[in-house]
Amino acid sequence: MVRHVIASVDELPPGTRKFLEIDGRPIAVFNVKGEFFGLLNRCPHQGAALCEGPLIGLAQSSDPGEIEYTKLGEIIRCPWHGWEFDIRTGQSYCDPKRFRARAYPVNVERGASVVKGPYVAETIKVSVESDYVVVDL
Amino acid sequence: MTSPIAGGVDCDLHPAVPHLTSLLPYMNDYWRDQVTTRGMTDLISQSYPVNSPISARPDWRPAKGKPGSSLDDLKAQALDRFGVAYGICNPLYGVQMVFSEDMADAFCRALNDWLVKEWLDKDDRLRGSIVIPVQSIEKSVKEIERRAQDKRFVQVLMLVMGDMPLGKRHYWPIYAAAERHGLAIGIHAGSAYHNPPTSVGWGSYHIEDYVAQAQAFQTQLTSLIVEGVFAKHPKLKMVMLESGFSWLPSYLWRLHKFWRGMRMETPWVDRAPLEIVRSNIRFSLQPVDAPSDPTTLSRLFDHMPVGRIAPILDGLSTLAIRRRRGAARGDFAGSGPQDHDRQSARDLSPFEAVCEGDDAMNVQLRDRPTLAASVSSKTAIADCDIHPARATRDELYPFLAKRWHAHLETYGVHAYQGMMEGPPYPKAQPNAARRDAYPPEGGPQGSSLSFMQKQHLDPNNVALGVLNPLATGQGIRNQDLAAAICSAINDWQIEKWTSQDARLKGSIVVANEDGGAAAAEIRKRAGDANFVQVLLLSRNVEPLGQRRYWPIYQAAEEAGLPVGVHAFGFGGNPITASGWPSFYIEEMVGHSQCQQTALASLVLEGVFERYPKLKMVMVEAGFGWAPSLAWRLDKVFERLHGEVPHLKRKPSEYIGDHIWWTTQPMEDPERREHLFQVIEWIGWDKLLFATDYPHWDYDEPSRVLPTGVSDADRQAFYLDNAKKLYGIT
Repeated sequence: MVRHVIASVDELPPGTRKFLEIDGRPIAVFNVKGEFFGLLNRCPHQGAALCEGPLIGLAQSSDPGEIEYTKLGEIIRCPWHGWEFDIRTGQSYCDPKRFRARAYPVNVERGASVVKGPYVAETIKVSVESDYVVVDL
Repeated sequence: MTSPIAGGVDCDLHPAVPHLTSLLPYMNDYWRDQVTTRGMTDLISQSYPVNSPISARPDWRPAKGKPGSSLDDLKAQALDRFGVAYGICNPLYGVQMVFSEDMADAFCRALNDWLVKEWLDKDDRLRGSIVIPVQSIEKSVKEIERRAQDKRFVQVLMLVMGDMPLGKRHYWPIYAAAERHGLAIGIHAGSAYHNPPTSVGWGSYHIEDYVAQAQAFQTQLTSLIVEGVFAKHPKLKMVMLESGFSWLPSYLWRLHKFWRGMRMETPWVDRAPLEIVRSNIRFSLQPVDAPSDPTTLSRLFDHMPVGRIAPILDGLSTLAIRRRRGAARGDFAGSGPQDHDRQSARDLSPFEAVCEGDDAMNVQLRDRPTLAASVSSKTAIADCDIHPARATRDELYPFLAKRWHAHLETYGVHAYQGMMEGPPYPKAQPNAARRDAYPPEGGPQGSSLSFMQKQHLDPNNVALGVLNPLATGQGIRNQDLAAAICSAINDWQIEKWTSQDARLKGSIVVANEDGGAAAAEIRKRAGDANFVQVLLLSRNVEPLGQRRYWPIYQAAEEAGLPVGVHAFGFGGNPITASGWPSFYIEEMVGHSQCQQTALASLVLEGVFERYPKLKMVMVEAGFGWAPSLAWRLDKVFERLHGEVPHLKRKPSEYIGDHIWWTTQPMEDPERREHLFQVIEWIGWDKLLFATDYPHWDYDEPSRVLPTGVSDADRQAFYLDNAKKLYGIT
């Protein structure tokens, strides 16, 4: 596993997502209310750019007509066929046994530790004073 | 010979009420006088004309009176002969057709009491179904409560075509009462005729009504499942009676496919629809709408979600005669917290703003690599269903006479449904299209040729793209406007699309309800190489075989152009034979049923006898249902061909010779070989690959056919069939 520095924290404020390609793999990193998540930008169903879908909540119901709406902003809905995946785990909600989106751990690291390595930061200029978003791949 | 069902259960016996007057002893004084003083006639349903071959086997017809009206005959012909331990009586008497709930209630009560006295009391093998006045929930529940004490009643009987889709919450107290008393709900073929008996209007023939029962069962199953009837009443069992069943596998593949994308619309459906069918639904076997050869039947049973035939029979017998339980309602949590506030803003954003920039949760930093514009090395394909869109409303104005500009600005279009803007059933994605298909220059998905080339035509190596414009002049009540818009759309297709990219070919859209104007438009475009077909939609004012549409077929045949029938459209009829359903998923799954009915009409009206060179393409309605529909048509035709003497051949032969199918949305069974077996029944030479670009239920070319298909079939499927049909060299 290699740790990739993909942005400074300032560059990816809450509500944004960044698309990038790491080792030929299309990845998107999301900041959801201050938490960071990484997903392979490819739907396991038919290969759409999954991370271009909207982040919505999870609708569930144990009583028809009454909807519990939770995990607001943590469900990515595929821009093609509308399949829903949990941004934390990649879990599918319509076919969890057969499909899972690929999720990657994302952490925030201090610039000082990033400078020491071992990190890959090809396009990011790292300074010791800042915090950085690091994705493990 | 020993009966193969000796000791079993016959789940569908029909004792006949000799005449309405037979029920008089079971009515109160008021209703007795109503019947006699008003001269009410016998309640015989259109579904079963007494002398029709569909109403009784020739050898079961009594010398006089209605078949099934004599207990002795029923004993001799069914109970004794088959050696069954039990027989369930489902009286099909036209009490549901009555429009007054009070009268229906009086007749249902009389009918149920008549069944007890005249049948159940006289043979202890017999069990009964409680017939209810479904227009009134209160009266229905009361009648269930009144009769459920008699344990010989094992089921509540409803018809498959009624006032509303059966899943609607309105009906739930009936289901609660049935569950409480351990009664199954039996849903039997037949209509109250409170709505047209098909989802595309009134057909001409009984044979059409009878074929349409299968489509009605499909739409009702969707309604029951997606409304959450079985989430609310998990112990409730429903029995589809005289439904046929060969349609079930492909229907479930389709439902499952759409449910996966629309799960959030009905989140109480928290397991796959086929699991719900497996646990809560049973099917009676008759009529077996499939060929009787063992290979086909064996394959078909292999496709069934319930496994082979035996479990179906076992399921039925244990269900119908099981000991009835008392109150059996499961535990359910109360309503959970709701969060409506956050939802609205996103979903109501205009299309230009949805994808980028306006939403605190969905800002995208697009320093990702842009789409490569390179020509793909993939094998060339034909895409037989591409939807070009207008970038702006007035993009069409240059092709429209000035009077219509003002008309449109003032009145808009006057459709056969209520919504002035937007669809009656809100779509799964904005504009029903992929969210990654917005052109960078603005406008809705599918409105930019250069972006379509870059995103779809080039990378997928589309050698032939057939354009099917929607939102044209079709389905507009003002026929002059309809013709003007259709003609403008045809000019626009040339100007904006086909003249700019030689891979693209247009479809001639026509004012579908005005045969004369439509034929004139076809003749005007005949011979123009910009167009490869005429385009209709499946839902019109009448079923597509009706004579008002014949000028279209005549002109198309003369021009040597196939007629594509694309799913969608509104023609003023409720989109199921039981009225309007609740959810978008019901509309989407239901396109297949509308298409089946439209095709049955084309065949049964003799369109292909009259226009023997006509070719038609069923577009965007799936194809897995085709074998089942053809089998069902053939089976009914065997009995009722006397009603349609203009047909010289079996229905399946017309379908085999005249019909092609686009593939998207391709049915999606768990085991892909099931799909291939269905394709073998249809023919690899009859399928035309389509993506539906840019729509949300797009089929990705590289993911559609897995390995295991021969090169020749693959080539035919992806390209050659289309080139041949559309005359592209």
